[in-house]
Amino acid sequence: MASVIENLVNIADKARRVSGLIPSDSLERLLANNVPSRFDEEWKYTNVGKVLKQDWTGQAVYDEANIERFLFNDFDGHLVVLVNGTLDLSLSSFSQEDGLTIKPLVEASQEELALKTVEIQQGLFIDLNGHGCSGGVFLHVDKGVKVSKPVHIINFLNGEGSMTQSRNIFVIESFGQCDVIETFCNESGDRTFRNSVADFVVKDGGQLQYDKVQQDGIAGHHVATERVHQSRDSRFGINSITLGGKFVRNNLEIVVEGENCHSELNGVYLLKGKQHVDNHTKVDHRKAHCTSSELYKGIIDDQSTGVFNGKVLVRENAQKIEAYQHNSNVLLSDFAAINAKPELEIYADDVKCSHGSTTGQLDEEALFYLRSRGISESLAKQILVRAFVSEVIEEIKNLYVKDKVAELIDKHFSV
Amino acid sequence: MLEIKELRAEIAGKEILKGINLSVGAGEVHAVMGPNGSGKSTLSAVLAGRDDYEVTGGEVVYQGKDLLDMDPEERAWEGVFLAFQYPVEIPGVSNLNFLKAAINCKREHLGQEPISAKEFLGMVKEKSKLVELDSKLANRAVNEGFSGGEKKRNEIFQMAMLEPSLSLLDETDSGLDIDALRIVANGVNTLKSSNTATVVVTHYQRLLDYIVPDYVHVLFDGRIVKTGGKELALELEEKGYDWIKNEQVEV
Repeated sequence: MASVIENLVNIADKARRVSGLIPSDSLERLLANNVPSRFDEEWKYTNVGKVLKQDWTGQAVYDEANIERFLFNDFDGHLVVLVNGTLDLSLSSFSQEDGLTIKPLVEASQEELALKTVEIQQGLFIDLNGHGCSGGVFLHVDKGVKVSKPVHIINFLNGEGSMTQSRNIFVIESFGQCDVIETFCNESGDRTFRNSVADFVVKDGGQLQYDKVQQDGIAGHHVATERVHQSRDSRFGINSITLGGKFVRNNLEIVVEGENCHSELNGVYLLKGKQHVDNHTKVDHRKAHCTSSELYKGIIDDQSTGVFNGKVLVRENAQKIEAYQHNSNVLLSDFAAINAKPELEIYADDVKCSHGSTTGQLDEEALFYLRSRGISESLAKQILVRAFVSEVIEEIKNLYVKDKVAELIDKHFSV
Repeated sequence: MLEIKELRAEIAGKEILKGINLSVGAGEVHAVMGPNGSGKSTLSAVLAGRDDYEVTGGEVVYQGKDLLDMDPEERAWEGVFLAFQYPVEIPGVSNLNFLKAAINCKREHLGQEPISAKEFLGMVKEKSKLVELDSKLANRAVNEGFSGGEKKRNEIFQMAMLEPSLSLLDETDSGLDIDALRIVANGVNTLKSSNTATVVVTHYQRLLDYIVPDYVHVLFDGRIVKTGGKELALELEEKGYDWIKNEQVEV
């Protein structure tokens, strides 16, 4: 009988459209992986085996991609639509702005696919993605070019029991600038599994802001890996908003390999029902004089569970680093749970680093105060929840995203 | 308007209110005074619907309805307002959005249309003047970073916006300097009418120089032990609460 990994590789094999993402000997390496279990520290609180063992031989459905409700209101920017991991030009509308290249990943050259991020992190999910990659976006910003309009990627899935491996690559040349938003969504109700990888290379003085909105339906499963490589004087920011999906694991790793960089990681997760969402982040400070700031906030309701594992690594020669990390959670039900583990690993001796994590409940006094003024209990809770996450929402600079997220948060708690 | 009969309440098994009787009519101002620990704050909390307290006996009838049977928000919709002794800071919630939500919840309950932006802002402008509340404060997060006096003025501002029939002021004077006290009292007096009633809970007599009560009740050990006119407050101020305590011991 074929092993779980063999099964996944077989499915991935059939879906592959992009080659050259992985070395030729990778199949062996891929098959040598074990299914992560609770005994692996990195997967202690997230039972991904249960997801991998499901039947993912369902067919992706390419027509009837109903993306209407995932669009931003009056959006003025580049729209890129991926359906089941493949760029759909008929649904997309992006102009080739000077200095900006957006193209399907299959059209990227071997040189373009040779990225520094490859050295960051390997493992089952990245190998599997490399092996069975069905496509994605290749986005390139030329040296010194500030892209005038944001790029919105809609990453849409369709097809009961289907599995997709999409790969996006973002390269910002020196002093280039770009804002990218990616919405992960599926037809509500479809049981899907996406194993997505995004590679970001931000060269000297470059700036990239990536806002990620996860709003898969109630049976969506998602393992997302983001690998970021920053060179000197660059800035990378990510807002990771998780509202949907039954099972979500985010692996974010930022390698800061240049001085005077800033990295900003913010996240909000709102969980209800039986959702499970796991945010793993790692900032690897390899060079001196950099700052990083991380704030993740979660609201966990019903029987849902959350995991936060944030790691800041400051290497021996990376002096004068200022790294701030905070995670806080509100549990709305007695059956909700969070496993939070903020970590600092510091080998340099002249740094300013802080981290912390708090978990509590909604402030009863505040709730009573609102109710005593005539605000119904459910609305009062909604107001307090919004207030709790507003600190992170305020960090979203893109107004399309900010408005959309505010709208989604209200909707999330009104049912 | 309000009939409290033999009201008993406890917290964590300890009886605090031991049979309160109080009758408040429309157009009246009642002061409830008493030493620390007599049950003043418990009385306001029970009337506002705080669920830390368990009502173990008696009844409270407000405008013909059983008040104790209502959720805190229902009491507000029916026109009950509690000015908090310690107003709560709520970071991230704008004062105005909060008030608008409160007004609209009440309107919805009464089957009315939501308030228009224009009407709401007009009201804010008018009512914030009443308590000399800086319009900047009105726009900030609820009570966040407000001084003690600003918080109390904000309570009266909210009261003005919500137009209650029955206002309970829980130690609204505590922590106020004379100027703030005057402003707060002036706000309360302006809002008074023949259709509304006010219950002022206080430790000190000085607020009653500004908000003149029709009746003064002395609360001691969970019971109202003395009722009189405004002169009773002055007597208490002069003689202190020991006088009451001694009288009780003698009884």
